[in-house]
Amino acid sequence: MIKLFLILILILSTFPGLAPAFGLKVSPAAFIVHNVRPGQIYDVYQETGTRLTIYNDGPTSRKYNLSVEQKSGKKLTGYQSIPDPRWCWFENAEVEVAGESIGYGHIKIQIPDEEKYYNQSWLALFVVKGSSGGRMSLAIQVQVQIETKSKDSVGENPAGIIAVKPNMLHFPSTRGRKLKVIQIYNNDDIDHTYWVTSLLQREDLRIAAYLTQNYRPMLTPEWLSYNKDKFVIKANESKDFLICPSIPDRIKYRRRQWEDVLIVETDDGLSGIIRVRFY
Amino acid sequence: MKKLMVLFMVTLLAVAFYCPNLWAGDDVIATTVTLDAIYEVALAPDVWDIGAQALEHVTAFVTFTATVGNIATKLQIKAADGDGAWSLGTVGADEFRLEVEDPVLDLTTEDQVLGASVTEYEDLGFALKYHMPSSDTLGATVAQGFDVTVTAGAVD
Repeated sequence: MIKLFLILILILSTFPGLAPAFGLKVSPAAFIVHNVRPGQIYDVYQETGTRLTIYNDGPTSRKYNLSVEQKSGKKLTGYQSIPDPRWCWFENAEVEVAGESIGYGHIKIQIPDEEKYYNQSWLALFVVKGSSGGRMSLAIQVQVQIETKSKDSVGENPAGIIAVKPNMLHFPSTRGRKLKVIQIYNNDDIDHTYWVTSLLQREDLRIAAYLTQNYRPMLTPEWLSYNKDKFVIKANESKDFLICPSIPDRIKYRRRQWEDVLIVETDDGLSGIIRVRFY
Repeated sequence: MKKLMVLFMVTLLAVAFYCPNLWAGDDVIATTVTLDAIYEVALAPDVWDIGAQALEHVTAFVTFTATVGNIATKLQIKAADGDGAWSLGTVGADEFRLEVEDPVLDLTTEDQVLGASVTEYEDLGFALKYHMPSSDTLGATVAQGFDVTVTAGAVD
């Protein structure tokens, strides 16, 4: 006897050419959260005005599930996956949006209050999922770069196989040539080769994905002097990396906020970033 | 006194203009929107009616079309186990299989790449086929519907 089993996904009989479509729209598509201090709870919308907007173009009300996930596979160069996606969450895990209307996803962040979580550059995926009402669903992953507060006096090695301390240098003036020191860490159990490049030299990277709002990209990578050669850091050791500003002290360069992002990479494919700012 | 006040105000304004970072509080976060666009994806048809089927039955491929918006997008696909506890995997006892034609994939509960970079405003067609379990221990009246999710995200 042949048994029939209920695999019913939806009762509607459909023909692809005639079948209705459903869609999902979310903005912005990507953003950076800067200066997150470990231990502090942040309501990203209250503090910055940034939230996810969910557009329901359909005629009827629809529910959306909101969650945060780790990024698997290839990462944006310079960033590692956030160690625990539960450090970020939506204020409401489900949002109902009326037909032909918009709704919002409000994001909160709290990184554990540990010294090692300063100077980090992480990626988290903020996921909005909508269903057609049947069982076919769509989801959109908004990639968020989370950068923790820069701090050069940290009581322990920063977290991560590759790490830097601090992850931001700020030169308040174009005058002077004061050298600053970054410590680059190899927290792995084997030696690794490292090299540092300027974002401005990298045709494979989209500058807009890295630069801070209101900062202009430095006009040339030559405004920063540093070791361009590859170097080795032994297992579980760190190395000083010197950066010297070489920006010409001209009036036209003053009063403007300049930024470059130095990409630190290793022979095993990991990478980190150092933001360098003038003014 | 009035002159001193004016001098103080001018100094404040000058500091604000030349050193804006001084105004940022030590623990204040900021955001930079790096891709100020609307992520958009649509799917048609929006249902897949498999209906009641016999054990070991294999459906024909059913074609779906995913359309992306104004950003080049990576599309991934995953499915879930059946509502009544059939497992998604290979065909077996209480275990069903979901096959994708192009690219050739067996769906799992983890995302797999459907299209690594679908150009803006382009369509990506894919077809799904359902393989019934070879045997069942849970009962013919137990509904075994499942979710299929197509996920849009940043191109690697």
